[in-house]
Amino acid sequence: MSLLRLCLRELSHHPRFVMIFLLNAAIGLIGLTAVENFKTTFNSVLSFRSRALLGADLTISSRGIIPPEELAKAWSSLPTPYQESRSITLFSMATSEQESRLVSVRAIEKNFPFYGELIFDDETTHPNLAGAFLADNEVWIYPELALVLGIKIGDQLKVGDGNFVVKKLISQDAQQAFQEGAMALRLYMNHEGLKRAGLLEFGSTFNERISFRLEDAYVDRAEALAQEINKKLIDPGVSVSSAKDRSEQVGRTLNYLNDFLGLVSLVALFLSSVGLFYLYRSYIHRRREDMAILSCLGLSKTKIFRLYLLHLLILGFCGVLITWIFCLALFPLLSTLLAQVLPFEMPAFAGVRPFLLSFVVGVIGNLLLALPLLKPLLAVRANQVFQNYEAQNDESWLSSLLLGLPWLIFYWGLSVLTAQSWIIGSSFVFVFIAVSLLVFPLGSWVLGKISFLGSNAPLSLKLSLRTLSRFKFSTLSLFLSLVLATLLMTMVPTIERNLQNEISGPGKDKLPSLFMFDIQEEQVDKLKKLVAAEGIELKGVSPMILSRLVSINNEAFVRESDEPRTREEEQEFRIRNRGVNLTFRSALDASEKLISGKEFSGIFSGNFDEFAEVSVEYRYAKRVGIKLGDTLAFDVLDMPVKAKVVSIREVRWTSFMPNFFIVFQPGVLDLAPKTFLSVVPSLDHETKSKLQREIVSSFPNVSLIDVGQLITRVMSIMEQMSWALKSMALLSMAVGFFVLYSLAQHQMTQRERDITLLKVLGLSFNDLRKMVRIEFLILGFTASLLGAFLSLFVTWFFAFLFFDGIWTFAPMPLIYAVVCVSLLCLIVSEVATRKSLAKGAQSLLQDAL
Amino acid sequence: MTQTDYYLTVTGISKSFMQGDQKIQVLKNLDLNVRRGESIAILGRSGSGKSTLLSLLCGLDRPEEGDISLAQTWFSSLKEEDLTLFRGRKMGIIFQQFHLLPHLTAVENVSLALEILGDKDAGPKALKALEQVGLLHRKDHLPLKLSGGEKQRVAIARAMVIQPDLLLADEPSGSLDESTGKDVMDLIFNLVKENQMSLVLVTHSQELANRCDKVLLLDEGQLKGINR
Repeated sequence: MSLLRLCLRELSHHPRFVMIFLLNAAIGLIGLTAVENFKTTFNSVLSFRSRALLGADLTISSRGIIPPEELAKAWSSLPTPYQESRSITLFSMATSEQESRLVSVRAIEKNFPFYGELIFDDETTHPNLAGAFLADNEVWIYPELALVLGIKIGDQLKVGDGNFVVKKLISQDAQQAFQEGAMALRLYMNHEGLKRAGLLEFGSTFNERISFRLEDAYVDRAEALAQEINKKLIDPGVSVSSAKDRSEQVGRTLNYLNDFLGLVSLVALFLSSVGLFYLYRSYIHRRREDMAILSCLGLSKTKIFRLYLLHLLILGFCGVLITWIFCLALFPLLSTLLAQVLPFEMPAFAGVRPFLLSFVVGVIGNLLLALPLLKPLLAVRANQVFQNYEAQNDESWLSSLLLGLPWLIFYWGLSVLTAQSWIIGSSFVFVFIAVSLLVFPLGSWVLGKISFLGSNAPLSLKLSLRTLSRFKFSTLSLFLSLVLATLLMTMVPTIERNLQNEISGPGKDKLPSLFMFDIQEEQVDKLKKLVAAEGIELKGVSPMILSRLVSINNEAFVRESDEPRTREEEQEFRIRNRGVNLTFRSALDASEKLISGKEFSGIFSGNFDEFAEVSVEYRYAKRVGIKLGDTLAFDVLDMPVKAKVVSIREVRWTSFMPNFFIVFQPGVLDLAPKTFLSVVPSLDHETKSKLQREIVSSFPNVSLIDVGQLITRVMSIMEQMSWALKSMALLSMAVGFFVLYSLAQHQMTQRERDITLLKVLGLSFNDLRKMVRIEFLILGFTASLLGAFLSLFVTWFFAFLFFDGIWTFAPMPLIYAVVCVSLLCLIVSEVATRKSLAKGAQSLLQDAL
Repeated sequence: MTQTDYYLTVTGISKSFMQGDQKIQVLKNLDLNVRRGESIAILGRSGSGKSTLLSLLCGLDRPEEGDISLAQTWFSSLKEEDLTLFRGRKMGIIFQQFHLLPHLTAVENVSLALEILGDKDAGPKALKALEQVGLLHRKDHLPLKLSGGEKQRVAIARAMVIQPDLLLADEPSGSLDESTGKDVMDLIFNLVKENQMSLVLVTHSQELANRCDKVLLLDEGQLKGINR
């Protein structure tokens, strides 16, 4: 008889196991495939739209005016002829008669954008507009801005010092990326208009960008040209981007969502793997006799191994098939849902990659299960199996662990691939190994103690404790699975809640009402007076000086122009390629905490041959590689400044107070050209609106952020995204509960014979129920408690590594998990006990009839 | 002799099973009477319904017709739970496959039967029972570490320790070699005799059956007497 027939026959005799196994595998794989499909689709759409997003083939941009020598490098490197277009972007306030709002002003030339277009609500377009370009006193705005300012086409709008007429409302903007504009809506004007508005005062924060359109023959070389020019650039504040960079930059907005989803899909995958491992282990353990019989009948151990390998291959393949069928039905639905969130349509399918990945994981991952599970069983001789009919738990978990190494390595690789980060992927696997290593020895010790505890307990408790402590391996396997399932299930909502808590802030009423920037030096006192007239004190008035970090310990702070590959490299690249804002103050703000070093010694001596004292924010220090005592060199508008790090401090950014990565002691930068930042403390809505109007009218160049409104916008974006987070979190919870159910159900099936025997011996139904209840409650409660407890550490660890240390104690998901897991265990045990009690005891008797 | 003279009375029980669409009548209007201290052997070919009869005698299953009485208590008058407790007090059962709880030691397996009845001296009594079956030296061993014969001795000690009025034995030597099987059966017969208990022994072995007071053959759902 062929192995295949033997295999199919055996599987067909265990439909229940096959069904649970396949469902378990499919749910995990669906999560993974869905996330991979989302990521791949999004990237391919971005890549397709990338030129339209950038509006050009190449751009060179800088904070402030692009240094002519750097611009010259771009000009000299580009193949001629080419077209160019200059644009300036900055934040400012736009005011109507009723309201004022922060807007993102973009001053453009007539020929911009080279690719993509602006579509207006009258269905005309730019740059193909037949009519004239923007006049000096005209602006194009987004309809949302018109709505909040209560204006329409033809109405007046004040920006800076200039009055403008709303010419058109933009219904589609090809350069508008996903969820840009959380802080401010976009407004277009021409360069003359910008001059009229008087927004380019000295020290104002703005970005200049020159966009290039290459000849068709050179378009494909845009990316290579961008890299080549980047290598020539010296100023870290200047950068050259190609369309591909732009799509990556936009993609970054979604990278964190992707990372989170990747993490969730890993959770779903690991959960289902835990379930599969446990299910298959139990199944295969019960097939020991079959193996022994096959061996006695002359089937070699290699063939038996192949037979069960075939089992896993068929099961894995069927699991993948179910996944594919489900995904084919699910993805079009997901695409429809996504269309409501994204500014462009996404196709339902991203090609075969996600499907191939599910195939590799479903089939190879399954096959790798065979080594740790089958090898130890095949090592036992047939006669030993027959003699130890009731023998259990005699395998060595250490050798199983070693045989499990290929499986572990496979999942490690998979984790890194899914998370696209060595750190996240490896940490995930590390957590798994660490928890397993913690649970087994600790659990063995505890179970040893439990056994003694129960000797004088009531019968049901005594029997429960004996079962738990004597079936040590089985108890610990189930316990570990429950711990991991609870840990993984609570991780997702805990991280999500932490992020939400952090964004909304623990005490909204303590947050400032208005955050102001671009305040000119001579305006500070006048502004203070204006605010004081309303009986309010201006807080956190801080100077801001533009600079760039030149060297650390005399080593040049080199630009790295090679393309970043991982998330960690991307972060590093961004940090190194932007200028740094400096401030000076004599003491720490309330939103700051000294971590190491000392406070400033006082005012700088004035001797610029000496090092000035600086304090560095700890995460920035970590990313850039700055330590206490390091020397730093800055270029402050062409003036070199030397400094020594005297302290590392922590900053609570969500306090919305003016905070900086680098703070100087007073006396160093006092004379440098600067603007100021400040906040207005918490006010009621009316006072805030009145004050906002007064400030905008008296200081048109000052930009104001309504902090409450910003938080509301960010929260609404979070909510828009949260369907994705929640559906994935729900998926992982569903997998978790399904795994829990199958684990508990399987445990009960194994206990069925013992329960029947106890019934035959006369143990009352009540005592039997109590015994099983206690057993499962102890297991469920202690495992979920430990899992929840561990998730506190793990979420803290992940928050520290990946989410900027955002971590608050969020007890509710933990409490829910403990209650749900304990209850689920209890329910499963009740249902299964009921089933066992209803069954006859004929199975114990030698004859079937 | 009236029915009240018998310790175990089975009157007109019937039991059938569905096998696919087909109804198989395993027991048909079967009667059986066993006196206190009497031993009865039930012979029958495989599939004749011996185990079904045994499960009905244990009260693990209910007959479709007829009733069973033990010590003047009719099973039909007892609820499932009460029947379970009644079985625990009045009957000892020995299985062919021993059926010891694998996670309990020999002495714990024996004392369990007493603990279920709430006996405060379960420990010492279990040790005494193990001594009677010659296994005191193996009291702390798990079933995994015991041989087949030793396991069955532990099972016998567990059945006997509650001093039941009725011992039901399902092919107790069926899984043992000849010599060990003989030793085990000697032990059972001696203990039954010493304790004046009734015995219903289900077996394939005519030789073993001959050691009982009465031998019955289960054939076509009914018990027929056999002349020895």
